[in-house]
Amino acid sequence: MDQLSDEELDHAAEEDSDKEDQDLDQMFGAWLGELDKLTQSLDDGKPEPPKSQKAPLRQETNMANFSYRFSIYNINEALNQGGDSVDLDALMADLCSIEQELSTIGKPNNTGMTRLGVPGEPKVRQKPPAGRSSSAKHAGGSGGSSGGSTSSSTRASPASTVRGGSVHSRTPLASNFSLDDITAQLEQASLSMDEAARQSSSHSLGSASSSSSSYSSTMRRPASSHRHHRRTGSVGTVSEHEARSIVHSSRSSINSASASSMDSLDSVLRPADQDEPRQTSATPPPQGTNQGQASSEHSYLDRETSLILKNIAGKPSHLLTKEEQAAKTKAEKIRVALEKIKEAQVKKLVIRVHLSDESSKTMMVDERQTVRQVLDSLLDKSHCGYSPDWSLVETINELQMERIFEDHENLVENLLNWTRDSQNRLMFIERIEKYALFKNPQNYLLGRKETCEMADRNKEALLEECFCGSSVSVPEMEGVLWLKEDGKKSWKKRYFLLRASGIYYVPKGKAKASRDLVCFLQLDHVNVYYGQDYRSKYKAPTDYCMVLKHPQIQKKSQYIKYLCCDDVRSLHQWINSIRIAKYGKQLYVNYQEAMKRTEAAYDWSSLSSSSMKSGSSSSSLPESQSNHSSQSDSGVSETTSSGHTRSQSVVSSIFSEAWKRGTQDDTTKGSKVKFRTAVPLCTGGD
Amino acid sequence: MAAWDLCVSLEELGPEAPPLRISVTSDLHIGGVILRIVEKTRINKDWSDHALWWKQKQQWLLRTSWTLEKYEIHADASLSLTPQHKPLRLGMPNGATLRLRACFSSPVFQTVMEIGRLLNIQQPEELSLMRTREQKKKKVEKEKEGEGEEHDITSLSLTAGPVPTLSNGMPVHFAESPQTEAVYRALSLSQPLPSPETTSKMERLTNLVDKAQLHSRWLDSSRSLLQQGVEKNDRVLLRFKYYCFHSLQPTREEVRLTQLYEQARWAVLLEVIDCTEEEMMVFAALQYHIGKVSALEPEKKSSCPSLVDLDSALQCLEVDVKSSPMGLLETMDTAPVLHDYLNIFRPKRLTLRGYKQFWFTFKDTSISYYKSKEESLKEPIQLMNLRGCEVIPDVCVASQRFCIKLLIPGPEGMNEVFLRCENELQYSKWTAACRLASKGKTLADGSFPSEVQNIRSFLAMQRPAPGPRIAQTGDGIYTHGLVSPRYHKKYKTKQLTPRILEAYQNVSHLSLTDALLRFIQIWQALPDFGISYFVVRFKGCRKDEVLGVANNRLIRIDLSSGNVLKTWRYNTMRQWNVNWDTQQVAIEFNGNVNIAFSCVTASCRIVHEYIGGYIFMCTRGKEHTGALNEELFYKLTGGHDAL
Repeated sequence: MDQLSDEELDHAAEEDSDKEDQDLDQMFGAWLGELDKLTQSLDDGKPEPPKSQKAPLRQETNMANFSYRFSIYNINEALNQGGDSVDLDALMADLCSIEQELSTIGKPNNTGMTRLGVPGEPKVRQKPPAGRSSSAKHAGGSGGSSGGSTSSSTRASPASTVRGGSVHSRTPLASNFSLDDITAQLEQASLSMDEAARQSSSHSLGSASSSSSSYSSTMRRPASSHRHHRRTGSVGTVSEHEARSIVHSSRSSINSASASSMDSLDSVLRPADQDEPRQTSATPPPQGTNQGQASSEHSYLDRETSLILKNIAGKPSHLLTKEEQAAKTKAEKIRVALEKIKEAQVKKLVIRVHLSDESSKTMMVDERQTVRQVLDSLLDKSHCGYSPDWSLVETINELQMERIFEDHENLVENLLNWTRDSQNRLMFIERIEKYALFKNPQNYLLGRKETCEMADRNKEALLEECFCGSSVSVPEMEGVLWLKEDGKKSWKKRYFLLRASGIYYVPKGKAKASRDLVCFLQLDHVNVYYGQDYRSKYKAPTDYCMVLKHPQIQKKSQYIKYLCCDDVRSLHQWINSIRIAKYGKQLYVNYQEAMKRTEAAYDWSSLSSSSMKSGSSSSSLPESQSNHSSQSDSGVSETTSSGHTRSQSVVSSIFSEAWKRGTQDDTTKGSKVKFRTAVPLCTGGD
Repeated sequence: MAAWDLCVSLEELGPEAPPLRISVTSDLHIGGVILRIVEKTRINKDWSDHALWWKQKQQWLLRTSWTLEKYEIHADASLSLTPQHKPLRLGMPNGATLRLRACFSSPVFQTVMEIGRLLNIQQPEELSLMRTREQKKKKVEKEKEGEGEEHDITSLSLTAGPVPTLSNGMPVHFAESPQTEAVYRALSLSQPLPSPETTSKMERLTNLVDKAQLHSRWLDSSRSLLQQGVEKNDRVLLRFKYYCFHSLQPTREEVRLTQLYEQARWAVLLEVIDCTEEEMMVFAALQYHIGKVSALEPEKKSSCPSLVDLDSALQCLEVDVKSSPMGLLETMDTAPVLHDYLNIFRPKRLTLRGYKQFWFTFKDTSISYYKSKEESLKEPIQLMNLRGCEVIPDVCVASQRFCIKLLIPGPEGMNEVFLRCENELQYSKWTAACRLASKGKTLADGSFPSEVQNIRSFLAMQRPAPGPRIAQTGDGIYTHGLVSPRYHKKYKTKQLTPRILEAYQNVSHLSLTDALLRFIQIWQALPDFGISYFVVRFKGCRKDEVLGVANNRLIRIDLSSGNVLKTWRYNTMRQWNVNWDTQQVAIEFNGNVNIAFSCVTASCRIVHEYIGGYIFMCTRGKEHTGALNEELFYKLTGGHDAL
């Protein structure tokens, strides 16, 4: 378990190294060398700027600093580097998942406590039972179960910004821990901590940690960090770490109990092996049963059951013999077990999401989550009101471009394209461009006519016609665009046409007959981005630039294509038409899904506040009758309703404004900047 | 009331026989007339299908209760008693000709519905009949040979009520004899690829005026065949007329889907609809794939369906049982691996093109290479993850060139890598592996062997056939039948094959119906899809222009340049009127937009019917109700007879 503590130390050092007193260094001197190594591997050599020790919110600033340096940690690269950093990542992810899961449960008990004071206890107290009962769902945050309460815990998570955590298909090593022992000890530890927590709110740390430290060697380290922690008096971050370490050890016990989580077990066990002998000797070396169980199941199936299963295929169940039925149930069980294993192998990623007010949130996503799911959980947490315009925006600073992730896209897949030292950011922000296409389809789908109004009924019919046929009709976009020449600073005019099969241009001296068109790009492999301020960066003729590139390209390259439009309207039309050509009906499905969410939020918030106005944009969709109770959370109500009404009315009026002022330069920017709702976060203090 | 003689001719009496004369009074109803004629002929047969046809007025006398007086029939009328159902030669979209019994007395709309029911084509309202191209007399004989095989299914007839189908989707009435079964198969499976000779012989519609001419040949849906001069045994074409295909569900709609595909294919091959080179390659690849898969289809059909079901169920189970635990185990320790000596070339600036040999290993989704086989346990020289990469074939069987071009995305851009294989087999394996990897699949994926097979069979297209003579002609035809004549002229076979192969890799996994659907979808996504052209003259204009009628809009197009001048959408349309005397169509749109035009190439009835027909198609419900509001159709498309 010392790997864990190293992890903590790592964080402790990151935050406190230059200001902590000598005692600390002495206490952890033994591990500091190793720690340095780890720290370096985490690409984090720079010392932190000094901070006031007692400032209660220092954690926030710390996070901001970090996030500026790098906001995502690339799993694959980390894996390739092998060794310590990998395991750290995996640990981080696993920790977070448990933490998240637990915090949902832990929340009710949390009320009334000073959050910064004791973030650890309630969670720890809850941990072991939670882990036991819900090993299947420990992938955390994947479903709707990660309610609004997670926000407090994730915000309190360490400043190490984003880390990917997952280890795939490695041959697990033998365990050096008696997992059952640890589980038992943990239970006791948590019980006593529970007590302690009840006795006092802010000073319970000491007792809790000492009680835990007395149980096993694995607990000792966390305990010591507690001590240090109490001594310095700055509580927030470190106590959080401590909680994590305990969380983690409980995690390993969960693994053994459920025989499901191979990867996490692996990641826990392997570092332990490599560690100093005195650490390993502290725990007896029985075997981890996890892998053994799983494989024995496989072989069992191969030997007997599969044969029977083949024979009984197609037979109605009542005709089966006892033996066959047993085989069937066995197969079923094995399938369930395998599913659990798969579940455990799901990649998880801790991401940092930036808000428009320069603050940021950390959250955990797993590789299966779509952007919509992540948005939903962010909306649940951030109390900023439901609007379909909330978007996750990828900004690539180095290339000065950004893209709104589509709701159906897989977030992790996209983030994994970022390089290790990437300065890219993931923004959580309200963007009217995201679904402007569906709010005023007449401006996009009918060719390049002037901006016009349309009755809702007709809009709906138009959308229906465009998206619900047997094939999606791509808007007929064509016109002169500026193309940046490869490797040159000059921009050349060309006549471009969009077709379902790609973007084409008319070669010089030819008419625009289909057969003569030259294919400029096919859309399968590229995404479309908004270019930012290319007038100064690339001497673009206007500021309305779009970029087409493969999502994996992160640096300047001849494979990136820059196009420049004459005005903002044609830019939006082009980008939206390309989106339609690329995603087709999926876009419309996304929009309807988003509207459903909004409707549900309306219904729900109108119960809690009577001052609801229905937004114009939603009127075309049928009222959703269901109250999504999963979204409701006791802490959210007031903030949501107020924030929501404001943003809704503002946004709808702005949108029509924006189109009216289509030719004005700053329309887009204005709408981007002005209407980012700066809803205050539910910070730890309130 | 005075009696007078009525002349009625009868086919049954022989061609030379004089017409029958019966004595009637004006208040005799039509039923009575028929009865008397039948009595007089003394021929004992089923007369129920016969009806009276009034030649001079080109009119059927179908209301048996109406009197002669009401029909205003006098002694000078020459009537004939003739069967309502007669054989008709029907040109199908796939080029085959069917000889079947069609109704010559009901409106064409109903006749088509009946044909649709007979041939198991759902949503027959989207189809209609059109006359064949008018041919010069000399040519007629020749052309007849070129019309493809003719299938006689006049023996088939339908009873009222729903048409039962067999388990394999074939309607029961087709299962009567092996011949009719063969006909059904010919209808529901796409035909083998045409030779370029036939393609070049067929009419090509290169300019707008030609395309407009095509649309002048549609028959009037609200009048009967005989009324429009279509005689017994005449050849008419059955085509999809309204390009809004209601709920294409491939499960029970084999014939409809296949015929739609055939129509789309010919539209593409004959350049009725324009497309880009890239699109043409995709069409070619799909055609090749469909041709290949349909060739396998009959075998599948013939085997007993229940056995097939059981087989597939067992297979599924096997896969289930295997894939979960075994798949997992495999990914954990023994994932399949490819390794071999290959040549690699990584183009860099200022380097000459040179391949170097290394020992390559393909594992999971990555390729790594080593100096030699012996060093393969050490660190590889380079490891390339192929996830998301583009695989571009660079292959020429004749010159034994088997290269794979990989475009591997990386943060800095795309990395170009060329791999050169020694032979076809090696090439097929590695290409298949690369393709799977680019989709994130490993070699363990079940589709690997079939992918290899697909590539090999495609390459076989290029390989010279054993006999040198066949090689010359045979393989040239093959690829050239897939693209329009423009491209046979532009490219040689060996240039064409790699391009089709490249497009093929994206479609090779599709099932037959998916491939058909894909073809139709790409066709539908073409900008010019579904536009029927008419040369018209707008009111107040001096020159001819083109009116395009699509399923949701009217388009005004410049005749010479083909540029779109203006678009009007149906949903902004308030009303349209046809002045049958001046042959002028006037349409009013929202916001006081009025247009009026007279038709040059076609009668304004066809334009009117097209617009009305599209509006009718919009009124069909989302869900498949089956019952069509025929009244509404006539109301929207007819009208001119009332005047």
